[in-house]
Amino acid sequence: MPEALARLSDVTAGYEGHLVFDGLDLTIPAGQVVALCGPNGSGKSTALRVMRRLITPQSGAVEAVGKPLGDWGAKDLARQIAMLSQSPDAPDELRVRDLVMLGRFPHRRAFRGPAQQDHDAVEQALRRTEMSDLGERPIAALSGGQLQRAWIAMVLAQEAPAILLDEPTNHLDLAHSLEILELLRSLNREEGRSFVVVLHDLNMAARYADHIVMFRAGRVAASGATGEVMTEEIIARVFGIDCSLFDHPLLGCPIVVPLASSNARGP
Amino acid sequence: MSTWSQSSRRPRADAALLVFGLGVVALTILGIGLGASFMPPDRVLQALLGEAPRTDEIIVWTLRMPRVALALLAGAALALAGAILQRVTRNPLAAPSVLGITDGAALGVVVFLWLFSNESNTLRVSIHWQPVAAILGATVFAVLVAALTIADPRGRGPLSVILYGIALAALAKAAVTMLMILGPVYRAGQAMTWMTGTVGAAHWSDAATLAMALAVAVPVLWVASRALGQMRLDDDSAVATGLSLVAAQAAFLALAVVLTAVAVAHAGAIGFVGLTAPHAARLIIGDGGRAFLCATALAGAGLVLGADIIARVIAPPLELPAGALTALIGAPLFLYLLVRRSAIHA
Amino acid sequence: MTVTRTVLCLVLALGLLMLASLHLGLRVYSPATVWAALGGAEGTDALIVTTLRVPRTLVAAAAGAALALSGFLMQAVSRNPLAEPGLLGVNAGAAFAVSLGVVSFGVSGLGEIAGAALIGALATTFFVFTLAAFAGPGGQAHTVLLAGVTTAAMLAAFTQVLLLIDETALETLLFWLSGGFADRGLDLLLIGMPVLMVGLPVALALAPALDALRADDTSAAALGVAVIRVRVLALSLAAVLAGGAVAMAGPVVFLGLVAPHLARRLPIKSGQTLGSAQLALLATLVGATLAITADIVARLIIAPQEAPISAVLALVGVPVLIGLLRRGAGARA
Repeated sequence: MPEALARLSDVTAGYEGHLVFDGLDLTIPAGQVVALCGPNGSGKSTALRVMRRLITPQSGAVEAVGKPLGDWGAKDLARQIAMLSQSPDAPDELRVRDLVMLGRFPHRRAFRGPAQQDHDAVEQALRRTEMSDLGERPIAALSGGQLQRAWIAMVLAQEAPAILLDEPTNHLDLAHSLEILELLRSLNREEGRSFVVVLHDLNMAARYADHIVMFRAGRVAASGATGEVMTEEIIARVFGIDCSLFDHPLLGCPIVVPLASSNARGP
Repeated sequence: MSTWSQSSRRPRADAALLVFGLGVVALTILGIGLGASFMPPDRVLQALLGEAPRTDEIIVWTLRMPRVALALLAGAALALAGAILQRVTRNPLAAPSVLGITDGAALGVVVFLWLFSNESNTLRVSIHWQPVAAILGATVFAVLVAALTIADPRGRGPLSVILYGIALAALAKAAVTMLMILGPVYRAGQAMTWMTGTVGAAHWSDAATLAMALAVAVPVLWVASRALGQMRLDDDSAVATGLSLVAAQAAFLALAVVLTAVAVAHAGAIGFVGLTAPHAARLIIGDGGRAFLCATALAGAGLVLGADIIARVIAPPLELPAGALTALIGAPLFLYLLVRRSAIHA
Repeated sequence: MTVTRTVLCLVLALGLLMLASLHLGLRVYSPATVWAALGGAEGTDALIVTTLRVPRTLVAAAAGAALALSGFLMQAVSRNPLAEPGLLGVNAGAAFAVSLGVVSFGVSGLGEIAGAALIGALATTFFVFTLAAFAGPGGQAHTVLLAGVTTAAMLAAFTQVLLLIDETALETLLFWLSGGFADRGLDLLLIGMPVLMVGLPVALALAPALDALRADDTSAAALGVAVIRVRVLALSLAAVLAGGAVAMAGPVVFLGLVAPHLARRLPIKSGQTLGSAQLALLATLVGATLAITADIVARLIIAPQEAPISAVLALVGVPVLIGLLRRGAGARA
C-alpha cells in the first residue's frame, strides 16, 4: 500500500453557490486512524466527499491509493475505499443482513447470486459489529446505536482497505461512541485497515486517532501526529476557545478541558 | 451456516410467487372464457392446448386471446415501470402516472392522431408509428421532470420530483383535453379512450409490440436488478459502494419510459398499476431483487386483466374501459396492505 | 412590500378582475352596458350579464377562495406541501357522494346536493387521515399522500362506473363533474357564502395553533396546543370548505395545491416571515383571484368555444407553479 491514502493538491471544491475550500492541500497517511476535526462548516465533510469522489472538485488534483482519482473505475474505487456518509438512508423494511449485503456490490459477479465469500464477508461484518443476532430485523426496528452499527457493518462488508466515516458517533451516547471507535481502532491494529473519521469530540480524537487534521475555514490549520497537533495554542486558533490540556494518567493521551470562548472575552 | 438467512426466506417468497402466478393463470382462463358465450375452463384449456374443435380454437386464439394478452402485457409493463421509478427516485409515490410519463405518452399519441388523421378519420401514416409517438411524448415529459428536479435550487428533496411530476402531468392532461376540443369531434372518441385506458379493441399486433418491448426490457432488468437494488441506498452510499449512479439512473429512467409509452400506446393511460403493483409485491414478498420484480410484473398483469374482466361483467351488455376499474380493484387492496404493514412492523 | 400592502393589492386585483369578468366573453361589453345591466336594464345583453356573468364571477371567487383555504389548512396541519383536497381525494369524495345521491337516492335540491358534498368530503378526509395514521409510524408525509391518491383514484372510479351504468345520471352530472364556473346559478352562493363566512374566521382563530404546529407535535404540545383537537378541527374545516366548493363548481383541480404555494411566495419585504393567519388570508385571496383569472381565460382562449376550467388552470397554473418552485429563495416548502 502506498504511504499516502489520499493526496489533495490545490483543490477547489464546494456546492452550488459557495466554495467550501479554495486551493486546499492535504495528505492523508495510509494505515492509520486519521481524525478530521474543526468547527462546523470548516470543510471536513467536503474533504471526505472529495476523497471518495462524491463531489468533483472545480479544480486541482486528487490522488487516491496511488492513482489519480479520475482513473479509478466506480467498482475498483469502491473496492479500495468505502465510506459511511453522514446521514445514510435505506428503506425501513430492509433487513439488516440485506443491508450489509449491499456492501458487497463491488465484489459481486454479474448474473450470479451471492457467492460463499459474499456470505462470509457479511457474517464477519455482522459479528465484528455484534449484530449477528439482529440480522433478520428490519432496520426501522433498530435502536440508534444498533442502526449505526448496521451501517458500519455494511461498510465493513465492502472489505475495502480504507474506510471513510463522516461523524460516525453522531447521535450516539457515550458508551456506543466508545464502542464504535474501539472497533475502528482494533480493525486498524488487527487488519491494517486505514480509517479517516470526521469527529467533533476532541477528546475522542485524541484518544483514538494516530493522526489529526485540523480544519479551519476551508484550510488545513494543522496536520500531524496526534501529540503534535493537540496543543492549547492550535486548539485556540482553530476553535476560538481557550482550553487546558492534561495528559491522562492511565491512557497517556491528552485531555482537552475547554475554559471559555476567546470570542466571549471580547477583543 | 452462511446461507441460512437466504434459505429461511426463500420458501415464503417462492410460495408467494407461486400464488401470484396461479392467480394470473386463473384470471387468464376466466378472461378467455368470458365473451358472447361463456366457455368453461376445461374447454378453454383444451383450446389452448390445441385439442379443441376448430370453432373453439378460433374463438380463443383469434377473438379473445389478444385482449387477454394485451391486458397481461400492459399490466406487467406498467407495473415494472412503476417499480423502476420508485427505485430511481427513491420515492414510494413515484409511478408513471404520478411523474407525468403516462400523460406525456397519451399526449404524444393524441398529437400523433391529430397531426396525421385525415377528414375521414383514417391515418395518413402507418399506425405502427403510434408507439414511437408515445415514446416521444413520454420521453419529453420524463426528461422535463428529471431536469426540473435536478436543477431545483432547493436541492432534490424527495417530494420535489413528485411535485414537478404532478404539475407536468396536469399540463399534459390539459393539453390533451384542449386538443380534444380543438380537434374535429371524430377524433375526440379516440383520444377519450387513451385517457381512460382500455384493452377492448385489442389486436394481436398490439400484444406483439408490447411483447417485443418486454422482451427487450425484461432481460435488461434481469441483468441489472442488482444495480436497481443498490439504489435503495441514499445517493452517497450507493456511489460509495461502487454504483455509477447517474448512468444507472438515466438507463433505468429510459427503460421505464419505454415500458410506459409502449403500454400506453396500445392500451391507453391505464392508471394506478405502476403505483400499486410494486407496493403490493413489496408488502407481500419483500423488497429483494428478482423475486420482487417477478411479483410486481405478475401483480400488474393480474390487476389489469382482473379490471378488464370486471369491466366486462359488471353491467352487461355495457363494456366499461378497464382503466376505469384498475383503481376499483387496486385501491382497496392497496389500502388494506398499507394498513396491514403497520401490523407487521409493530 | 408589507403584508398589508400585499393584501390590499390582491383585493384590488380581485376587484378589477371581477369587473373585467363581467365585461369579457364571447361578447365584449362596454362599461356602460354592464353598468346599465346591473342597474336593471332590459334586453339580451343585460340578461347575459346578470344571469350568466354575475353568477359565474361570484361562484368562481367563492369556490376558488374555499379551495385555496382548504388546501392551506391541510398543508399546515399535515406539514405536507402536497396536501390539498384534490390529491387527498376529498374533492373526489364529495363528487362521489353527490353522484351516488343523484343516482341512488334521487337527490336533487340545492341543499341536498350541498349536504351530500359535505358528507362526502368529511367522510373522505377522515377516512384518509385515519388510514394514514394506522399505516404510517408518525403519519409520514408520503403515507398520507399514498392513502389520499389511492382513495381519490378509487372514488373517481366508483363515480365513473356509476355514470357509465346510469346514463340519465351521466347527462345530469357530467357537466357538473367536469368542474367549472359557467352556467352556475346565483343561488349556489347560498352554499358558498356561509361556508366561507364560517371558514375564514375559524381558520384565523386557529392560526396561532397552526403556527405552533409548524415545528413538530411535541414542541407544539409543549407550547400548550391541543394537537389532536386542532388537527381534527382544521381538517374538518378543510373538508367543509372543499365540500362547499365542490357543491358549487364540481371538482376543480389544482387550485387548492397552487394557491397556498403562490401565497407563500408573494413578494413580501424580505426578513418578514408570514404567520399562519396572514398566509390563510393571502391564500384565500390568491385562490379567488386565480379562479376568476382562469375563468376569464377559459372564455377567451378558444372562443367561440369554452375551454374546460381544469385544463386552463393546468395550462396557466403549471408554468407559474414551476417558476415559483424554482425561484425558491426564502421559500418554505
